[in-house]
Amino acid sequence: MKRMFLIMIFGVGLIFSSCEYEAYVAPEVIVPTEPISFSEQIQPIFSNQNCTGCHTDSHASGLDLTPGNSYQSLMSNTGVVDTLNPATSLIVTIPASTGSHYKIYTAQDDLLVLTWIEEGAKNN
Amino acid sequence: MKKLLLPFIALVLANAVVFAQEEAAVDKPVVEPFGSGYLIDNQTTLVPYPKTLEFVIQHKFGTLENGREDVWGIYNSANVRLALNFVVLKNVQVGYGLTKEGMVHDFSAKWTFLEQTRKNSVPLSVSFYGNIGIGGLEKESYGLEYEFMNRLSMFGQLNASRKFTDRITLQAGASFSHFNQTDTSKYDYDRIGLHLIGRFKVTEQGSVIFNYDQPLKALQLSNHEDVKLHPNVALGYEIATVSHAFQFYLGYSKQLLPQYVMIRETKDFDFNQFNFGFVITRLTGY
Repeated sequence: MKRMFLIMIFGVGLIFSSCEYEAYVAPEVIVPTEPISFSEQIQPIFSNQNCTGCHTDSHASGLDLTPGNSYQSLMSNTGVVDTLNPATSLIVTIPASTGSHYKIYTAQDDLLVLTWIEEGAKNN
Repeated sequence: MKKLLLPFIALVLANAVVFAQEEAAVDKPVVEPFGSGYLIDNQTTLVPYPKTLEFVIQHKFGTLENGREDVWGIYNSANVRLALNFVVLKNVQVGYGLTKEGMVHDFSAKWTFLEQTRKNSVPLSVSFYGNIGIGGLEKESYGLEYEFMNRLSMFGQLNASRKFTDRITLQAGASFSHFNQTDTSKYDYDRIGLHLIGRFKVTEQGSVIFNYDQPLKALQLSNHEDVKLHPNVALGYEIATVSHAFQFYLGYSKQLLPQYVMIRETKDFDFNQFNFGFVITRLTGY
């Protein structure tokens, strides 16, 4: 019992001795200078962030983000893309990097999606 | 006949006295204080017999928010943890698990160093549980200044349980959680928490179970004032046999590892953000 107790104390000490306090340093957000391409810059976000793990043609919200279907789905669901008020578009606000949606963007993704809508949300 | 009867009664009485003395001398641990080593999101003080392998499936469905469109989250995205635990010594268990969210590999140990006894010479069972989690995402997910240590998170918990009657068992605990790397705009590095779990047996194999985890504001080293501290509450039903336990519940947190429940769960505390989940444990003796 006593030996086991000492082993456990040693184990706990060993684990918590590896405690560190490192702040997360976010990659620098690059402001796009060229027009945003939906197929080359926006669709990969949905795939890389695994939005497409849930948002398929059978998703309850009706929003399908899989390649080939996403553009049509984004534009046909009310409020998802709002070119008059880009910042309030649901595809900007719900998965925002500061939000609490199940899958969220990086800060770079935030800027790319917002800029794409500001540029008219083209299917390019 | 009387000649035979008297020695027989004397023998029976003597036997009963000897048996009672043995019982008094050896106060054995209570039988089955919990149905499993897991109760929803917490560890119990129960450790199976030595050389027992425990296979665990923990599964949490999507949130209730879409209602019947996705059958209250059951057909939405899920979080899953599969784990294997092995009892290496009496009341000492070690384990490994892998969680889908963050692809976190965890190594754990549990030691129940006090066991409640039937005659109350020891009134409580007390155990220590600890784990270390290693995040398995791509390096880029840990920011620009990547180090392996940034992947690590730890959890330590002291639990005390008491089986009050054959039907009711309660357990209280305190914990410390830590993440080596944190985005301080969203989360804290450390968290102290209090935990309460219990089961109420309603049939021979069935029990109503509950889980309550309360994160506390103490030790907020990142000084992140806006951090959301919501209790992880869950209510469910357990069906337990000698070698299996099945728990189905409705609870708040989508996370499965306790340090993630205590620090990284930030969603709104609305009923439509709750999710269904289940735990299955299977024991195999070697």
